[in-house]
Amino acid sequence: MGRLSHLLLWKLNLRAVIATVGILVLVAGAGTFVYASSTSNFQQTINAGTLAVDIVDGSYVTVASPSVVMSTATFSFACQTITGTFGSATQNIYVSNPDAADNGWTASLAASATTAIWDSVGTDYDFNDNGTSGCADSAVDTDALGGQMTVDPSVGTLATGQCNSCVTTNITKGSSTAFLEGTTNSITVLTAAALSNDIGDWKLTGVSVSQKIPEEQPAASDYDINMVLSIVAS
Amino acid sequence: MQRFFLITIIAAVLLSWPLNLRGLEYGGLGGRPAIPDPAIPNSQNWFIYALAPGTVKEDAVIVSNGGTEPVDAVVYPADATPSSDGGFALKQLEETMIGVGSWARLYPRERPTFADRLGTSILDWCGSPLDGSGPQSNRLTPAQKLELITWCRGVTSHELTLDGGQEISLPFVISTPPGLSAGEYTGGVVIQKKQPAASVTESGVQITTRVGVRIYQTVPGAVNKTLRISRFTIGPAAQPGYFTITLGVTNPSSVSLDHRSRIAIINRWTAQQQIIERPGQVLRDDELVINFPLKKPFFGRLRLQATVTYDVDGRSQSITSRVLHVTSIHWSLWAVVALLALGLGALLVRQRRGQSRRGSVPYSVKPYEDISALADRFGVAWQQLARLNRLNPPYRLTAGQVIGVPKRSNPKSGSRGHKKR
Repeated sequence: MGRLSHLLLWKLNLRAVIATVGILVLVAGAGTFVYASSTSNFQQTINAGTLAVDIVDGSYVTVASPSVVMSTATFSFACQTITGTFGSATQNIYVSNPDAADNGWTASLAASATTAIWDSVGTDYDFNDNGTSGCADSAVDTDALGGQMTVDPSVGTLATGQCNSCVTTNITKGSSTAFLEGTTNSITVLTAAALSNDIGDWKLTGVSVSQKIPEEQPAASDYDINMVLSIVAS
Repeated sequence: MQRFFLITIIAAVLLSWPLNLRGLEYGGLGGRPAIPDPAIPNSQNWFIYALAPGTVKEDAVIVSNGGTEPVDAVVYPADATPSSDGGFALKQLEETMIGVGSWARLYPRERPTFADRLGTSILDWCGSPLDGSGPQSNRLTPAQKLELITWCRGVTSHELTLDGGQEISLPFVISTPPGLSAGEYTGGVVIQKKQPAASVTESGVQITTRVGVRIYQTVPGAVNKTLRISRFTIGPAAQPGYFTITLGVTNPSSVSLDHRSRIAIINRWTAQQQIIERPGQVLRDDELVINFPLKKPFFGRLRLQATVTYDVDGRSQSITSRVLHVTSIHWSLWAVVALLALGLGALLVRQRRGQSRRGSVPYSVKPYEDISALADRFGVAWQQLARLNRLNPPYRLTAGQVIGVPKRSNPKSGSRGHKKR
């Protein structure tokens, strides 16, 4: 058998091999087609799925504990600003609309409560108080904490995701807005108009986040705040 | 040759394999109405009701996990809240619900075993209002009735774990309060991913995600539709090189209104025009504040006016704002102007000095002559001599020093040193 195959291989030339394989593929393919169309009725239902927003990595795998790391600050007797970036190559803001929101949608960012704060074991500071341009407490809320967060999606980079035929047309990045308790509790990150792709997925990276820290805020390494990224069909 | 033959065969087999068309491979946490009404447009995406005040409606939401990994989630009804730029959002779990979010109750727990004797639906078991006083409740023992009353209260939120690919139907009942006025009330059912407990110890912003399914409840009756522009201002933006245009739109009517904001900007110095447009929605009894970034022109005086257009029963209505004016000149242009002014000034000074020098003749200072003596000799003020020759205090002159004296000076007799060119 081995000698026979060796002999056959020796005798065959390259053109003959390619031609034979081509014929085999065509015949096999045609045979499959005839078989499928003549004797079986394949049926499949693809459900529309649901509109979703998530934080995913570069392979579209959900990030287990997404976060935004802010720049470090040193204790200061003056009000100061720290910055961070929401959405990165490893933590994309990801919207998926598999024909579930034909009239468009809104993705927005809010704290887990309007009374949320940058929490530390020591002292805290606020994220939605505009006293002295965000540097001090005001009567806008009932707490005695200053500090204000500004989110600027307009500087971010919007791109399509896995969908090759989709476009970013009719999807608008939100404008730079500061949280203000009772007035601005939610900041729009992306808005899709009704004319946007009914089926599509999009990634947003590079959303700027800045936070005013009141003067003389005690140093601590555990300040954190919980925020919620939402999506609702229009 | 044998190796090449084998590779060719393998490649051919792979090429003839059915092509795997790549689609949207992501499946996240989501939700949708479980019982859409084909007669109502968009009911596959939203809960759309037209309930009279004081009535109840039983419905269900499909909660799905399109991913492959289990997800811990919490489901809760929530009130609507405006988002910036005209977006629609829902209140957070920790916030107090006072609208649609407080009207809905979830029923995730198994119904009491005896409930089937009373009917087939939550309303059969619990009655309306949902107090366990269903039509057949008199057939229950006191203990069963107590159990039913507790069950009928439902819950305001429900935590669950969904396996990959799993979807469940979660029943809920919405009860409209009596005395509700005609108009639209909005809220939603939220499906939120639970925050991993471990992450809250980290420093920074911890993010979780959620999906909301809107509830539109309309109380039938006459509604008014009107919008007003509450504010229209322009000021510097946090981002250098930009203005922020702020447009506020209030909705005093009884329904939420979609609208289109349009800001027309004309640079009166360059005649350039720019239009900024954005769609949005204002919830009823609410104010929407939109911030538009505007890149500052290199130079110009801008005229801005906003127009808000909305639809009232098929007719387009427009309202316009007051007109704003703002002047913008780039700092580099100011720098160029300043440099030009400086250059021009220097040129003028030089020209004047040149003219001054051209109007003088040289004179060699003799021994013992000082500036006042020379001024006296040439009939000019000593200050003029000092200025002409850029002399500084104490205006000392030395013998042999050549200075300029005005041509039109009137030398006194004996001015022997006065030379002519």
